[in-house]
Amino acid sequence: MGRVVSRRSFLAMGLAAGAGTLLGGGVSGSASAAADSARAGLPDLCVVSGTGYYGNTLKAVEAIGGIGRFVGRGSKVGLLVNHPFRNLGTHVNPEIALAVLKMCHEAGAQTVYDLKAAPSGYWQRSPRAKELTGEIRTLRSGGEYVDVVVPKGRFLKKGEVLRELLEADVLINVSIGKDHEGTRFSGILKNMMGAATYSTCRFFHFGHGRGGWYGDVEFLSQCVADINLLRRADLSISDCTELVTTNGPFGPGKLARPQKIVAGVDPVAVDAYCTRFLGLDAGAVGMIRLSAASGLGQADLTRTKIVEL
Amino acid sequence: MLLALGAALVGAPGAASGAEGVDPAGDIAALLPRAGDIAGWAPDGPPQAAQGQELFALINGGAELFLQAGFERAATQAYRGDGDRRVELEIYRMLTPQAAAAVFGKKVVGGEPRIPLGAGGSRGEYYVIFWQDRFLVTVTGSDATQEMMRVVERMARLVEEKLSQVPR
Repeated sequence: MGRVVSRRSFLAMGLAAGAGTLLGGGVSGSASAAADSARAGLPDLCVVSGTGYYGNTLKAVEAIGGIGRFVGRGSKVGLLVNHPFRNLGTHVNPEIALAVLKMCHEAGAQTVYDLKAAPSGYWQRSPRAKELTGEIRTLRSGGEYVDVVVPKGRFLKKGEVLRELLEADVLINVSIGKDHEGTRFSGILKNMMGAATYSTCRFFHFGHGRGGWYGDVEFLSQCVADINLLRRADLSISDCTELVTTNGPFGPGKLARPQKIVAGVDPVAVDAYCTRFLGLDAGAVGMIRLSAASGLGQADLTRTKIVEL
Repeated sequence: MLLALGAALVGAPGAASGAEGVDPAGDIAALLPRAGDIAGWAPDGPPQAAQGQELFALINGGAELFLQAGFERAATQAYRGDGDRRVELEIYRMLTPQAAAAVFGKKVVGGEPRIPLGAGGSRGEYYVIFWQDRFLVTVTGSDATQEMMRVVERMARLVEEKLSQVPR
């Protein structure tokens, strides 16, 4: 079994910051995991094609080292699933989220947090929900928001995020690659906004002071990079099976069906790979470019080891 | 704060019954089809509503388009049919008909075919969008089958009928 990424050293530092305010750490844990990939000869990304979403998610994670590489027995896992919207192609297929949940349980996770509680009926959209009723019932919601500072943030210096985002031993970001009205692409990196309060998200959009929800996309994109500096996902899984190519992020819109599931330890590389499904170049997506520049990962896929199954 | 409109509100004394008595300045939830309006389909939980900036809580990043154009309030309702089939209905009341038309124009950018519905309608692979007066309506199916699209279009027609009875 591979190394389990731990957040305990991060927490020790963060809690030392004192009453109610956590100090955002860096990306060393996941950067180490990425380095592990190279050392172990594992791919950085695995892309699995086909319509068996549950099984393909298991395959994708297995190919990058297996869930045991990330989730240790007794660990606390934070699942950040992009599932608030209902329209087709705008949310993670529950088959994929359920596969991740099942893997976490099989790896012996003590607690799995569904950081943003799933909307009513979300899990039941999967025919597998009955079979996994026990696992679904054990999910705990992230509930309390805490003030954080982001020492390395360029624009985002402080904010409010779910406590469990920081306290979980392992963070698994499960998102969908899709169109976005403002940033043109939404995926793993942008999904981190789901762990922040509405007030903090408003800062992403309006903190530049020039007005307009998308009045300064570069500012928004940098804030997305900054919040990922607070806590980079240890494992990123992108649902690119069915996605909106227009009217994102909410839809409804035109659908594309690449039928791909992309898993990796590098959230920047995962997003960079997925931009192709929207006909975009990764370099043209500000949050990917700026996240790479912030040291969050690799946007140059020629330097990424990719396995396609 | 996002409002969950319980059945008690929709069915409260004095509340609108069907389209009759619909208050164009008030209860747009009265425009929502009810259980039995389409055979085999019924509301799945209470409707939700939002006014002004609350729209962000309802549709997140999708809200800006509406707010920029001039948004007033919205009601959404999920419906469940046989098996796991679902339909989502969203009704947005804008400040002006021009605002509703503007949002419609921005939503229909993928070359989807136009259909005769309201003042302007469009049919996507699994959804219908139309606008009428100050209202922008989307009806979205959980799959793209012909059977589902028949339900989606029927629901859109029901809302269109109710809207046609709203005093101008």
